Amino acid sequence: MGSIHVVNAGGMVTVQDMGRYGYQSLGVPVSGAMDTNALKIANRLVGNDDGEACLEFVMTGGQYHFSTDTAVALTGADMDFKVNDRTVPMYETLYLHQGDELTANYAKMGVYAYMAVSGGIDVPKVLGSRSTFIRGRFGGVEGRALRPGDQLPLIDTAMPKYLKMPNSLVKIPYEERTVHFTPSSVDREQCASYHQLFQKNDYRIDAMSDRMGYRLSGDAIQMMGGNDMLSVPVGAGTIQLPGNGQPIVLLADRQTTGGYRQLGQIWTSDMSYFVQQQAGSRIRFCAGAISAARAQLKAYEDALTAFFSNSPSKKVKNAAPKRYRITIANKTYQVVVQPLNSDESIF
Amino acid sequence: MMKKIEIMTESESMLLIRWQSVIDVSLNQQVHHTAQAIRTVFNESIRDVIPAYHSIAVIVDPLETSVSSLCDAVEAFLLTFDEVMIQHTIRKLYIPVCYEGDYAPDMDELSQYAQMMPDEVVKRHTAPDYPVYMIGFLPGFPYLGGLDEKLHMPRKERPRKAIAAGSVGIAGGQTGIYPLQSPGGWQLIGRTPIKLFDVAALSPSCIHAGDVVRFVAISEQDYDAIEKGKKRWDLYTL
Repeated sequence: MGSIHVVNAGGMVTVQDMGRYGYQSLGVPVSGAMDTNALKIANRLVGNDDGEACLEFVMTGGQYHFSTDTAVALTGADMDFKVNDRTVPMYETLYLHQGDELTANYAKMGVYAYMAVSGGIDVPKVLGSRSTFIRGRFGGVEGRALRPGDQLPLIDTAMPKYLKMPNSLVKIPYEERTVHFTPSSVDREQCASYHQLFQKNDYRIDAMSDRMGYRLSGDAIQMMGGNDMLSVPVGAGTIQLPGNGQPIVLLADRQTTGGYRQLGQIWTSDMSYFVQQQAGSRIRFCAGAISAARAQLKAYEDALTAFFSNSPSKKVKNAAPKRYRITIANKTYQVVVQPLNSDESIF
Repeated sequence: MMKKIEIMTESESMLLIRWQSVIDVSLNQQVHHTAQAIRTVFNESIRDVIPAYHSIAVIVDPLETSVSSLCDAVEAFLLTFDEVMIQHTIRKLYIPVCYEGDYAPDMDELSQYAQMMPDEVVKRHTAPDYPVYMIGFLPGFPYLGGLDEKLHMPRKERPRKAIAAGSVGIAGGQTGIYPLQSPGGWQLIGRTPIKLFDVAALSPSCIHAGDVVRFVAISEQDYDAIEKGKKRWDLYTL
């Protein structure tokens, strides 16, 4: 059984999957990938089910040694990924060999990057999920961020076929655009003016942002009648407005309930773009209907599904390389022979 | 039909059911029975159900389930759902708490603030049956109602970096137990040796929303014995 050896880990590298559902009534946060779309794509590119456990890198990656031949895919933030010191592309299947070393540097663009490994990372499931929840100290590797010396066992599987995502489907935050939200239905009429202000304001993502939530800073919105209320359930993308008038958007490690009044919920299909904005980025919001939110989500999912189900099945047969020892003039060389796809880069 | 409720779609993944905005034990019981019924009936099409004081969120995967269709289905279901038909008993849990020594770092401060002897604090804290309105903030953290007004005290101005699991505290008009080690600003007046949240347990949280909790004062010796497994504690009978 193969494994990944952590030579060096970035500041906050954790094992994440699609999250831990079913226990929110017991106060257990969902956790999971911040950019679930990027995690899903990474998994599909190595032939995994959507929800297999991946590594999530936050702003910095680290250095990882592979004890086995396998395939990986890198998605999300661009961290200048290299295998054995050669730059490798994101959003396509990469075949690694035993002894290869993958490094991820500082995020040039985006915040969260994902590395899926063919088969998935085999840490024990806790309450149905492999996601790390650091405050609760469970999930992932001992409920904590990775450290040098950690060994991550991999689930055995066959080599996947080679896939490369077309740029049109890659959701990297290249261009500035507005983020859609559905205004809260609670007291919608009375709150219409707050929803208006929220859309007029220019926000910046505050540096005090993490997996629990992003703080926004802009012109304060003052609510009549105070900002506290009886605690209600919250979700991924819930926009809270505490007393200082600066919104907080709740994310993967959010509490299950909250006592601040809410402006609305960010569209699921815009969460990927939103979470990938670095601290200091400028953000604007635009209200939209739930039906439109779902239509946008489905349209993208349909395009993804079409790509993954229609990609030509260029199966790399016996993708695991064959190694030969050749001795010439008393010096021994190792020759590695591996079939390549016509458009696969050689590194 | 139940007390007046609103059913609203909050987002493509969240349905919100709301009662009148009050803290009320019988209304809250209705919330939990409704949540349980929805969890059972709509199990196939939902991801999670989150009940709170006066509201329930039903969470769906927006690619699998249309929240507006679910809204109609839940509305129709609740029209016919007669919660009286459901036979429910309210669980009562007896939680052992040591209110002495290092387990009660803020007892002196609270007893000064409340102007009563520590014994009186313990007496008042162990007297009520506290209803569990909801679980939130941390895994297994119970939001309890019914704290004696004489024991109300604001949070600490400087929150502690780490509060030990099992710590029993007071914040404003609330009392609660930290199921996991966590930072926090509550005034700590005791600690329970019972592990309230355990991911390895069949039912990870000892306390559920809708339960009733009673604190029982124990000595430091008993705390030690229960923690080390030398003494058995039955949570359900005194």
